[in-house]
Amino acid sequence: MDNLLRVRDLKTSFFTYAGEVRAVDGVNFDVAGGEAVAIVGESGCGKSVTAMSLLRLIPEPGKVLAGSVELAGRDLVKLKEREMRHVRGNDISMVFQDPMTSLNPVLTIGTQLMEAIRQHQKVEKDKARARAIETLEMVKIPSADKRLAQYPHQLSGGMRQRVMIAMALSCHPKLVICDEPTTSLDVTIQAQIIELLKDLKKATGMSIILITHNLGVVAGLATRVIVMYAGKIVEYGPVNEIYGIPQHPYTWGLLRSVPRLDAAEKRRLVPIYGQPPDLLKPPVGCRFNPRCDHAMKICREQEPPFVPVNGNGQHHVACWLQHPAAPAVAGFKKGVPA
Amino acid sequence: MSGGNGHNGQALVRVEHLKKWFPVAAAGLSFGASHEWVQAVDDISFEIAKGETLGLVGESGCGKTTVGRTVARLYEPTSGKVVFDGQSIYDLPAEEMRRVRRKIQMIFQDPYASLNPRMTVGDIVGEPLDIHGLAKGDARKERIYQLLETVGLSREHASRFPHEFSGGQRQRIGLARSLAADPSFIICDEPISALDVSIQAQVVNKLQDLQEKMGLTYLFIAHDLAMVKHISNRVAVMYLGKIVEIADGFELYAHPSHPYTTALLSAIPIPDPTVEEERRRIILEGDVPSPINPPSGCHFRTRCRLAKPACSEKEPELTDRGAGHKVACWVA
Repeated sequence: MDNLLRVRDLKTSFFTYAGEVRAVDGVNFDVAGGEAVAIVGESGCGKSVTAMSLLRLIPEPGKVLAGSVELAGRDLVKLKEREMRHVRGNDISMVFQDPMTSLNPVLTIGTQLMEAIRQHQKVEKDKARARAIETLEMVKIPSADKRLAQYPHQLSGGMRQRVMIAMALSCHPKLVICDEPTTSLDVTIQAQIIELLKDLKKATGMSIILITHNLGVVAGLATRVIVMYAGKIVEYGPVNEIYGIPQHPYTWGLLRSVPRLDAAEKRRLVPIYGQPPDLLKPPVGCRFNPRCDHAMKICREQEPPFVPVNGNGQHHVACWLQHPAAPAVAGFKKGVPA
Repeated sequence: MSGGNGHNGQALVRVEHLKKWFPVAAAGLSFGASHEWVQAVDDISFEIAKGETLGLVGESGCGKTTVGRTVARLYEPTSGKVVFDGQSIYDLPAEEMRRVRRKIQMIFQDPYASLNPRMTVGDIVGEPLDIHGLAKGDARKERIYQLLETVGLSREHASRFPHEFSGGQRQRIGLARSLAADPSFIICDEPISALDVSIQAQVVNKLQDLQEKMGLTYLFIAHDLAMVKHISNRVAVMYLGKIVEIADGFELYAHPSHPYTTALLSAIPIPDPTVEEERRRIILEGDVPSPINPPSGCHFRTRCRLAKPACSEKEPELTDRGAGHKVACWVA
């Protein structure tokens, strides 16, 4: 698979009165055509800011400082705003967390869908209408033509999220960024939306960037996982390896701190102590070191380099425990499948 | 109490045929016209043994929060009975109720909205002490420090304000406040849903430690079934104002009987790609119907793949299917 998206050394900061907040600090990743990549991490780790940076939708006082975002070989960071507007919707579109606040409450579903279509493609009104009905059917909304005349408040949360997905897909983008698409939904509705995204990915061949803190949702949808902490990627790799043989202590922590529904016995949860750092003054060295059980002297002094593990060139981690001189950690083998 | 109800020891809380209906103005309503009712909680019964945790799960709008608030008598019930420690609490006059309420405390979902931003943490935690006249002066101060330390904060935090704390710390402040009046029963209403995953585990472990140390009884209300199973001895599943199934947590997961429970369990993603790949999901069609005019008979029948004509005629009762595993379903 060729890479559709290639992100290199992306840096985004917010210039607040208190100082510079480095929300995204040197992020690199690729997304292949037809692939679903998940970005996981806790609130404030920079996962949403990363997504907004790709679309260049960073609000004041934020700014993309450096790096490149190549979509099919074209660097989006260098585009003029007018050209960028053509990219949004047509090439990359976005589904937001809260469908109630992202839809306009005083306009009908039809008006909003047709606006999106006519904004990006030169089509007549009735053609746009037909296209709107078609996309609503694609996201499995029953009696789609009647829904066009309805307002957002007349739809349930799950239906609203389907409308948001329909809107995102209405111009056949190559990449859809889903920012916590199921967080505000109930689990049975979440299951409907995840199934829908899977089906749509298969049917349209689009790529997905899934941003979430829900490790269960990731396991069911993504093929690759990026773990972010305090503005940096700490680990990335194929989904099976991230869950099966995670290499970063933060990834271990995330996986051990949630109970599993299929657990056969009660096991005490292992929390990650403390809280994420203040990005105004992030810790020196590895940013996770104040909360890490295995922190060594070097972790407090120098930032760990990204190193490949497992020898397949797919799985990378930024942790000093990978260093040949680092002591062994019980129950964990350096870069070797367990 | 032995065997039959699936828990040991005396029931501390007994809820019998509890109903809480809220009036809503019907369209075009004028004075004197009849109201419509949101049947938020519709005839539910359960018991919680001393030292036990009962988990209450269900999707938004199923009535689980209303159950918690009505059991604490923050809402007056429409009908039904709650017996707490041998006393029927709805019959108590206000003065006596206040004395009982010392023993029944709540922790709320939103750690931002449930703490007064203009009060210091010390005053927030100390308020129950003042209301119930439990401690004054230095003793009050000492008790506040002790409570803060119990929940893993330090005495220096007493003079600070809520905005200086993170979500997880605020939830600990709420916990300290609920412990101040020395309760025996705590209703935890989605206490961790607003927190990040790494912080959730901290709060849940704290709740478990306190239960062990102080013999607390919990009603743990949440929508995260994995977490509810983890913390609870028994789990009750609610759908549209009714309890549809109640059983030991492991039993419920291993042998779910009600079609709604089965669907709910299968909808929950498991953080393991190999497991996820092989799982067969039961996807429920449509949305939860309105609790204003719930479907006749079994409330779940409109979304149930096993529904038969009989399901629309009569409401199924919660019946014991052995070892305290109760199910309300005509088919299962």
